[in-house]
Amino acid sequence: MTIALFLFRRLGMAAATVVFATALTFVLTHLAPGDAAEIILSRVFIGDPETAGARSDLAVVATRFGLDNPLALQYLEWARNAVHGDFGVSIASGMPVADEIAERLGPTAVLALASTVAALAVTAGLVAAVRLVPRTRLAVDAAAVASVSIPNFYLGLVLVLVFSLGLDLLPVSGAGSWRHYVLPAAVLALGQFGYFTALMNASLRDADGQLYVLTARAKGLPPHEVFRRHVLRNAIVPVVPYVALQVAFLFGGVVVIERLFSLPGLGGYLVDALDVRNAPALLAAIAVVAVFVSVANLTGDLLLYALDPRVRFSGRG
Amino acid sequence: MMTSPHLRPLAAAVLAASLALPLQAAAADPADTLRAADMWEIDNLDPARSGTFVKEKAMVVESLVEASPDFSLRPGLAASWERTGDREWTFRLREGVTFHDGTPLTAEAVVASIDRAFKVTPTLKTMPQIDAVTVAGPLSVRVTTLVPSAMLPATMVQANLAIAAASSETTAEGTIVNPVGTGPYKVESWRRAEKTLHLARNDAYWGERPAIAHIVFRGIPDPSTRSLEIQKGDVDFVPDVPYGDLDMLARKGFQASRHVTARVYQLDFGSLKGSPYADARVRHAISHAIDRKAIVDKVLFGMGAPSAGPFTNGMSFAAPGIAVPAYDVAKAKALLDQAGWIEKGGVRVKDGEPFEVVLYTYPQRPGLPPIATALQGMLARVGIKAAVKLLDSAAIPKAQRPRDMRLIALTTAMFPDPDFFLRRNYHSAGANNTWGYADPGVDRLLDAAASANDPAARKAAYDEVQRIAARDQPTVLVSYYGVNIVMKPAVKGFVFNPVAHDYMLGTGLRLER
Repeated sequence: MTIALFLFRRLGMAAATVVFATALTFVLTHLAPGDAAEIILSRVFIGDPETAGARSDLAVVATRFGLDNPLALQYLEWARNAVHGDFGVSIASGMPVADEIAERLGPTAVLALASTVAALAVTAGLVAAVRLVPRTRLAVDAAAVASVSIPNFYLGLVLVLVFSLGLDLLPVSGAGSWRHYVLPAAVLALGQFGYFTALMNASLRDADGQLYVLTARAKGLPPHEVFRRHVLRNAIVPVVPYVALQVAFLFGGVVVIERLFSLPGLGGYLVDALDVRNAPALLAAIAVVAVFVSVANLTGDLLLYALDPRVRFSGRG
Repeated sequence: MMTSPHLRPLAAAVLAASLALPLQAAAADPADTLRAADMWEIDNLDPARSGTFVKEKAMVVESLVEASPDFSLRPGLAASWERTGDREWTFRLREGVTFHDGTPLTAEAVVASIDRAFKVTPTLKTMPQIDAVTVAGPLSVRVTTLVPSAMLPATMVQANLAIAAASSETTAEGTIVNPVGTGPYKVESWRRAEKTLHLARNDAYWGERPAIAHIVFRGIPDPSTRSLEIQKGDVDFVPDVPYGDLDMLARKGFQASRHVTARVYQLDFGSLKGSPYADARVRHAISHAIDRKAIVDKVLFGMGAPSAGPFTNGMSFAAPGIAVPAYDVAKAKALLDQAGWIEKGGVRVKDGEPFEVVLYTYPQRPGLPPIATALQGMLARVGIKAAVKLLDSAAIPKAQRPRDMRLIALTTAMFPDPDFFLRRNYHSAGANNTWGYADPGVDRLLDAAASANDPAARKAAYDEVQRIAARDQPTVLVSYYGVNIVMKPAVKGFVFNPVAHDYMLGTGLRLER
C-alpha cells in the first residue's frame, strides 16, 4: 500500500470520527436530565442555578439558541456553520467559541506533550536499568505499580506541599510561564510511566524469546546490534499505539489536574460547557478533541508504518 | 554524551530565560497591589452577563441603586428616586460623575446601558416586569413597569444592570470585553491566557478614593488550591477555602473569617397534597427533629447559622420575634404519633405504609451532601427512613415523588426586597412553590404589598407572611449559608457586605505590608 493511500484512508477515518463524536455528544446532551432552556436561563442568565426563570423568558432563550427546532436540524445547522469555520458564540460567556478553545488548547497541548515526553524518558531509564542490571527488576516493577495506583489528585497535592509550600521552588497554580507546568506535567508523567514501563518490559521479554533473536545471536551479531535491530525494534511495536492513545486521551483534557493547578485547559472547558448546556462550546471542543485524537493515532500509525514493514506490505493499517 | 554544537546556544538561552522568569514574577508584586483570587475563572467581563464579578468584585461598574449590609437601599449612581406614578419611577442621577474615558454620566448613557443589558440578559427586564426605560431629562431616567411595583428601585441593585459606557470595547457579536464604567477601579488589562484581570485605581472617582492602587484578580476554581495559594503567599485575599481548613489557617496567622449570606438551606417536599406532609403536624415534627446547631457546628464547621425565618437577623426585612424551631425529639415523636404515624420496628407506619422517602440534593454546593447525611440520621431517630440521593439540581424535580424531600440552597434576596423570596416560595403562584402551598391570606398580603406605597405598611405585610410561614412550615428551613474569607495579615479594612452574591471588595481596603 502506498503512503498516499494509507494517509487518504486515515484522514477519511479522522473525518468520520469527528462527525460521530460530535453527533453522539449532541444526542447525549439532549438525553441528559433537565430542560436545556431552563438550565441556560437559571445558570447563565440569572446566574443562580437554584432560581427558576419566568415562562416568557424560557421561550426567549429557546428561540435565541434554536432549542425549539428539531434535534437533527439543530445539529445540521451547527455542522454547516462549523464546516465554514464558524463555531458560533458561547452561550455562557458570549465570546467566540473558536477564541476560547484556541486559548485553552495551549495549556492542554503543553501538558499532554510535556508529561508524555517525561514519562517516556523515565520509562527509557527504567527499561535500560532492568536490561543492564537485572537485579533492579523488582524495584522497577514496584515503581511501576506505585505509578499506576497512586491517585493523581493526591499525588498533585503532595507535590504542591513539597515543591511549592515546602521548598518554595514552584508556583502552586496558574498559567503563563513554563514554571506553572512543571508540577502538573510531573503528576501526569508519574501516573503514566508505570504503564509504559510494564508494557515495554513485557514486550522486550517476549521479543527476547523469539526464534529470530536466537538466530541473530547464533550468527554472531554483537549483543547491542541484536538488541537494537531485532529485540527493540520488534518490542516497541505494541508500545507505540498505546503511547499514541495516551497522548490522545490527555488531549481530551484532564479535569482533576486542570482544576487542582488552575490551568485553563480543554477538560475544564468541556465540563463547564456540559454543566450549563452550552452546546456551541461543547460541540466545538469535542470536535477539536476528536481531531487531536485522530492526529495522535495517525502519528502512531505513521511511526508503525516506518518501524514495521508488515504494515507496509500487508496494508493492515 | 553527544551534544550537537548547535544546541549549546539554545540551551544557554533556555537557561537564561528560566533564570529571568522568577525575577519578572517577583517584580510584579509591588507593595500597593492587592492580589485577589476569585472562585470562578475570569472568562467574561460583560457587566450584563458577569455583573457579579465586574461590579461587586472588580468594582469597575456601578448600579443606580446600592444596598447597605442590612439590605436597606442607598443611593448609587442615582442620588435619589421617587415614585412618579402608579407604574412609574423616576431616578435622578448624581451630578459630576464621569466614566473612565472622561465622558459624563448622562440619562442617555444610562438608558443605552440598561437597554443593552435587557437585550443580553432577558430576565433583567421580566423579573421586575419593566415596560420601558426612558430619558426624562439630562440627569433624569424614567422607568415604567407593567404592573404597579413597589420594589422596582431594589431590582436596580442587581449587578447585571450596572452601567457601562457605550464606548466599552465589544466583540463583533456585541459582548463587552473591556468595560468602561464609573467605579473606583478601571480595567488595565485582561490577560486571557492567564485568566487574570489587572485593575488600576480610578483617580477621578466621584466617591471615596480607594487606598490600594492596583488589584490583580486570578480565577482559582478549586477551594483546596485557593487554600494552598494563600499559604504559599502568592495571593493576599481568597474566598471560600475548604470549611475544614479555616481553623488551621487562623492558627497560621491568616485572617480567616466566616460570614452569613442571604441564602438558606431549605428542606422542601414533593407535594403538600396526597403525601404525609399534607398534615402540618408532620412538617413540624420534621422541623423539631433537626438539630440545627449541630449541623452548623459539626457539619458546616461554623459556616452558617441556624435559621429561624428565611431572612437573617441582620436583614432589615426580617420579621421580629421568629425563633429557631426547638430541637425536641420527644415533641417530634409525639406530633408524628398524633398524626397517626405509629412506630413499628424503627420505621413509622400509617395505613400499612411505611414512612420511607428519598431525600434528594445536589453536589455543586459543598455543604449540601453532608447536611443531607446528617438529616438522614436525625430523621431516622424519629422513625422516618430517608435515602439520600445526589442528582444534578435540574434533574431533581422530575425524579421527586410527592413524598420525597429535597435539600436546596436558595438565595433569599436576589434583589434586596422581601418580595423576592416570599412570593417565590409562599405565594400559591410562586415560581418555586412546586409543593403547592396555598394560603389565601398570604396571597392577599403579598399582592397588596407588591404595589403599596407606604414602606411601613409593606414591612407589616411581609412580617405577617413570615409569621404565617413559621406557623405553617410549608418548607423547613435548616441553616443560613456561610462563606469564608481568608486574608493575609497585611490586608486591612475589609467589611463583609452580605448583599453581594459571593463577596464584595470595597474602597476601604488597605495594605500594610
